[in-house]
Amino acid sequence: MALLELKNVTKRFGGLTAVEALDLDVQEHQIAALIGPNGAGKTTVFNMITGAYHVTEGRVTFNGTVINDEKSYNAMKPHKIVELGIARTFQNIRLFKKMSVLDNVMTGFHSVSKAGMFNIIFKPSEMKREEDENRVKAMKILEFLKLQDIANSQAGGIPYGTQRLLEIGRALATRPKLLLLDEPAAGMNSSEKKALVKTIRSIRDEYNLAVLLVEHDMELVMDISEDITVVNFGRRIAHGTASEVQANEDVIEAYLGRSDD
Amino acid sequence: MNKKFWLVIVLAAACAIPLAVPNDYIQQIVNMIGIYIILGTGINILTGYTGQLSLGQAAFFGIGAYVTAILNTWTGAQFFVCLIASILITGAASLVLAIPALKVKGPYLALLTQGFGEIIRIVMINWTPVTNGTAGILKIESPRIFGFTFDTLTRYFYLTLFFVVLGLLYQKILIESRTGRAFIAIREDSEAAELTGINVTTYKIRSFVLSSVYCAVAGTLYAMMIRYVSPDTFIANTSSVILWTAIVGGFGTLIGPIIGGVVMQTLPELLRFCGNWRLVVYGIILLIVILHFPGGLYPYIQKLLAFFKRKGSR
Repeated sequence: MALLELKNVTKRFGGLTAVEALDLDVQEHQIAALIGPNGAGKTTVFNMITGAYHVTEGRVTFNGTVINDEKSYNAMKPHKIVELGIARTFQNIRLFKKMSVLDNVMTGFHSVSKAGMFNIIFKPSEMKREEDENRVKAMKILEFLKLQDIANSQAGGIPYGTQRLLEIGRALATRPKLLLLDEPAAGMNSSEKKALVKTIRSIRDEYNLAVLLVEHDMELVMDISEDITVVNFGRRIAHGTASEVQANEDVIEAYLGRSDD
Repeated sequence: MNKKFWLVIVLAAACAIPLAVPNDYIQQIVNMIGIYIILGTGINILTGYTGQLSLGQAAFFGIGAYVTAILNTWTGAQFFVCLIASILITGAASLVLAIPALKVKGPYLALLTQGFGEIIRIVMINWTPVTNGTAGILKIESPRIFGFTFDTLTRYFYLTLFFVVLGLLYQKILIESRTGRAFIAIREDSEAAELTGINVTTYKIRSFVLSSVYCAVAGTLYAMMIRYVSPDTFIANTSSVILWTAIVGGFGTLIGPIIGGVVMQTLPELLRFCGNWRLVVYGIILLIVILHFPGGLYPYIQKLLAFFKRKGSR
């Protein structure tokens, strides 16, 4: 059984069909990619997986649990989906800018820790222990991403590429089984991109999770992905390994246009 | 170690304040500073840290004060009973308001809370059998705790100081905890907060109710100090003074409410020499502060302290 399964998913905004009858699977421990030209509906797909949008038709299943389908009572709230094990990063970085780098990761532990407002009064020692444990775990994540030296810097002030890494760090803190990366290489230079490929692979192995990425950089996608789904105008036009997808005529047409002979 | 040392010094200095106060008139202003620090801390958590603007804090302050006044004058209930009832009833009222109110954001939330403030004021005026209307409630007793009566303003100062310290301490621990990070995350980017696993709706409600609990404590302290409550105290102007207390000191800073409380309570008194122009000058000064120190006074005081430290170490 697939870890994440989208079956026959359609999303309409009024008269506009953003995604139509889409099937998409991500297996455990797999690095998968969702690609397509601008406006193909990739971000809409992410928003349906994370619960930001309700699906109009079809069903999204994660780890055997229905998280989004046309019955609205089945649609889970985004924070519940995070608890189930899906975390994401954003195309336009959305860190908590005025918090420190460390606190951004600490915030990621929210769903896997408990201390509430009353623990301050009634269980201070328990709260302190949880806080200390989380700080150690957060530092481990920062060390893994080689960000430990800037742990106390303000998140809004660190370089762009580093902010992207930090977003991944914050997502890792929620202990995801599936990590959604929305254009992780955007704005990176070629050496940063090479490092990113390594990082994504090592994250997958170290944290034993699956990755689904949306990315425009084809070199990176073809290099890293074990399974690629191509969408255009909200429909799936191809699916398979890198070489299969590259040979597909519909894909070539979608990206380069039809030849006129 | 060093930090603890300074904390002890500051606390000792605070305890010594009544020694420097020449008369009851000034002592009452000092006590009001304490009450406004508590109110300012409450709105600092809600607006400064969680990013939800409220213009109706006077309503919760008023509910706390009236619950205390009514319980004490009708049943003779003592301080702690009044305080707990005040917290529970104010908290319940804020919960009832928060659930619909926090579905809206920014200016709409501000308007909604302001409207709530007006409703509460009108209830105070018109629910005469309970609130005694515009005449207000007289003859509230001074608090008696374990046989000790806080019947002078100097004694009352220490009772207020206790709650000020408690309120500031709770704020500090809270903001540096899991809940505090959730609050700040909501202020910074509520959508990203939700997608980081934070139940944004319930945390906004928590912040709202918590800030009203600060108002409730301040309300009880106020009612038992002045020993009289009337609707005139809990007007829209009070809500804005509470908001300004947090703004002037520095929104989203731990000691901002202290600075704000001192400035907002002493400034009108210092300006008495202006006669009829007092409130005009007061308004102009506040405008200058907000234009020149948009982050509040705290960051500048910090810089000033750092400057003196450097000078001192030379």
